[in-house]
Amino acid sequence: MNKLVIICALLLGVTGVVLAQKSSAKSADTVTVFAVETMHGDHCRKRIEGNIAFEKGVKDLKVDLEKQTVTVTYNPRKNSDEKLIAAFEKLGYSAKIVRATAANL
Amino acid sequence: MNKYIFLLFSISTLSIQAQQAENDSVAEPQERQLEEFHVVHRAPGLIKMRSSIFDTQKLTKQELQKAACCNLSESFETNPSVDVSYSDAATGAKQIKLLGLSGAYVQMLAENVPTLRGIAAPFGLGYTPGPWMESIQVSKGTSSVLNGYEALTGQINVVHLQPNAEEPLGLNVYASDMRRMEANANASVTLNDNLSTILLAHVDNDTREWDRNGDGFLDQPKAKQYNVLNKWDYRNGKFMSYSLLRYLHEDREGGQIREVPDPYKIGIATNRYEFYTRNGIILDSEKERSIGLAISGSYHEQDARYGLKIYDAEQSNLYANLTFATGFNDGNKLSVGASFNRDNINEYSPLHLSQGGVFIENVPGIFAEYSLKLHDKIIVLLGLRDDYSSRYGNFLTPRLHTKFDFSKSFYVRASVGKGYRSPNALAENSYILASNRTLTINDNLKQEEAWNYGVNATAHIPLFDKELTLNGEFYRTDFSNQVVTDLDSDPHKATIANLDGKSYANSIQLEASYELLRGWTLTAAHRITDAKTSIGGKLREKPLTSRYKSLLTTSYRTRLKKWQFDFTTQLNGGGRLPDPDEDNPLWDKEFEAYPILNAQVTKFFRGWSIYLGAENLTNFKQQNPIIAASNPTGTNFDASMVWGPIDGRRIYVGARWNLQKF
Repeated sequence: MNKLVIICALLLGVTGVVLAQKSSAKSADTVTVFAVETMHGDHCRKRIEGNIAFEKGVKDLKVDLEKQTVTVTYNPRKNSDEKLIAAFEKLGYSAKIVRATAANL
Repeated sequence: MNKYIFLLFSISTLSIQAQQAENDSVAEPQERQLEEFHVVHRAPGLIKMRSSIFDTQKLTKQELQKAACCNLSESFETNPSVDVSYSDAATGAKQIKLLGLSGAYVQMLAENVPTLRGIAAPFGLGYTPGPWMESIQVSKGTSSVLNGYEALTGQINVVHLQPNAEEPLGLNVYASDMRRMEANANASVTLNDNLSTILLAHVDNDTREWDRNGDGFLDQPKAKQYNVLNKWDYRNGKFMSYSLLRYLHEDREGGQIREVPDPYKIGIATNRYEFYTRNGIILDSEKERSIGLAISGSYHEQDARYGLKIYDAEQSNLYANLTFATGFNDGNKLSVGASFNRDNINEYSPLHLSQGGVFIENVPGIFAEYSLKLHDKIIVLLGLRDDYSSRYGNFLTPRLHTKFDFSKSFYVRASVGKGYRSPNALAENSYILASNRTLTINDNLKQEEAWNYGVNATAHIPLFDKELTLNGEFYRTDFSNQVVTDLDSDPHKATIANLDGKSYANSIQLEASYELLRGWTLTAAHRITDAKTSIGGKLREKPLTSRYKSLLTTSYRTRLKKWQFDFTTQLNGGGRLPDPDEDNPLWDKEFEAYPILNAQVTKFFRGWSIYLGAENLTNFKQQNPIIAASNPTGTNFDASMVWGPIDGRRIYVGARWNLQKF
């Protein structure tokens, strides 16, 4: 009985994860690559992740320390590039738009 | 069925985190460059030190937070290599096992300075609160001779939060369904360009009586702990200095519940004072030439009552280590130095120590270590120590480590080395006092001495744009002298004597880890342990040691790292119990395999997080952990036959808050 419950739970878990992964980034979302200065390693990455993720409408976030960029996917009805730039500034980083596209392009 | 709902909830949303290893303490500059990470992929919380010549894993803060409760002893719940178990059913003391052998053979370090030696060892894992730790490094096999001759099976180095941390204020509170309460706070201040400090404080309170298995004994002793630590960091050009001060007080009260008339009580009160200072000067940064001096000291006192038995002990320790290191043009490196260790142990236990137990041991020693690089593919580390113990005389510690890089993603390490340890017979076996076995400690116990051999191979295989890491290892520890506790020859006796015959432990472990999907990591491991010791003239399997362990740990963190789900399951193989009485067996000859499931969900907010978790989800409990519990004054009473969990499922909640530097 125990084993059965565990196996069921694991299967559910896998399904849940797969569904969760697929459901992000809808076609109406905006994907903007910001050049962010200056990120010095892991603590900067953690700080950006721990804050920008909580800005309105943000759905995905990728910090690239090598390229010094942060790619933000967000719902344009809830946020804008300007507001995100202000959010970076609040953390002490200057951010410029490198590239902005809709997610489906 | 209800009990599975939480489990279902926990696993059905499995996810993981993607944080990297934070910068390490300045004491380990060589490790900074070792960690090779990908930015987008989730780095595991458990990091194999790829370039290190030692078989070292680093448990990052993220890994430690996967099982939020409570202190160093619980930090290894998600770790395949280190086992944690209760030493007995009454004191709540936890011990670790590495490579199939007791934690006594693992050298404990705090920021690379030896700590928790001698009488502090049995309860020592409870002295470092989880939220205080920045990271833990676990090395298997004999380690560098720079830190001494102990480390027979490995080394555990704890790095506390740093004074110059990014988060100057932190708070953590925790509560469990068994009414254990914990609070931790940390505050760091940068006083000027050169000087910074951090204060860590911890208090826990576990004062409810629980007897869920109905044997009349508390499942967990009631406990209270106050713990403060202050660290200083001073840097001025080429001079660096780190210092630490620490005080701990702990009260434990176990034994029979209040309702029992004239109850059998166990009480242990501990005070511990500790300091260290590590100072280094870089003489020539190009040539990696430096000189370092570490000095540490501690005073530990413990007053214990086990029913009518008394065990009071105090220990003062002083340690100094002076090391000179220099690099050569060809990338080779030499370290030489001298160390001094003094232990002064004063034990009082009228029933067990015929004469007052005063032990003083002074050990001056010299050491040298040479690291040699051949064709960028092979590193050889040769180490040699010569120490003189005032109790055991002169002894040599040779150690050899090698690493062959067949490619960047496939490498093999091999090591062979000797290790020694001065036994503290009563302190290490104090769990036997929670029984009515007649304890005999033979005179003239010798210094413990063993060879350790190890080989391990690691491959990082690219698979679907991610990396599959496979690791296989074999370790053997072979004792030429060991202090052996014989619980077999007579079920009413315990005899501590020198090894007469063979004693060894073999450990084989296979491990695989992979990031299945973005944010979802999985580690699976299996280990087989074969530990045998000559007891009563026969080579026998070491009692109370699981023959194998399987572990599966998985973690998922959502894309924006707002949720994290962790789940760990382990299956601990069965093993042998000390021989029961032939005519009137009160316990079995063997114990069976048992599972342990842990799960935790964490929700992150800006600057703070909350977590909900459960340990031992299946509520597995060892039946009758205390033999003859109804009569603690009778000859059969024995709380030391512990092989599995005593308390059942534990559910906990907690919150962490951090002020961020802006």
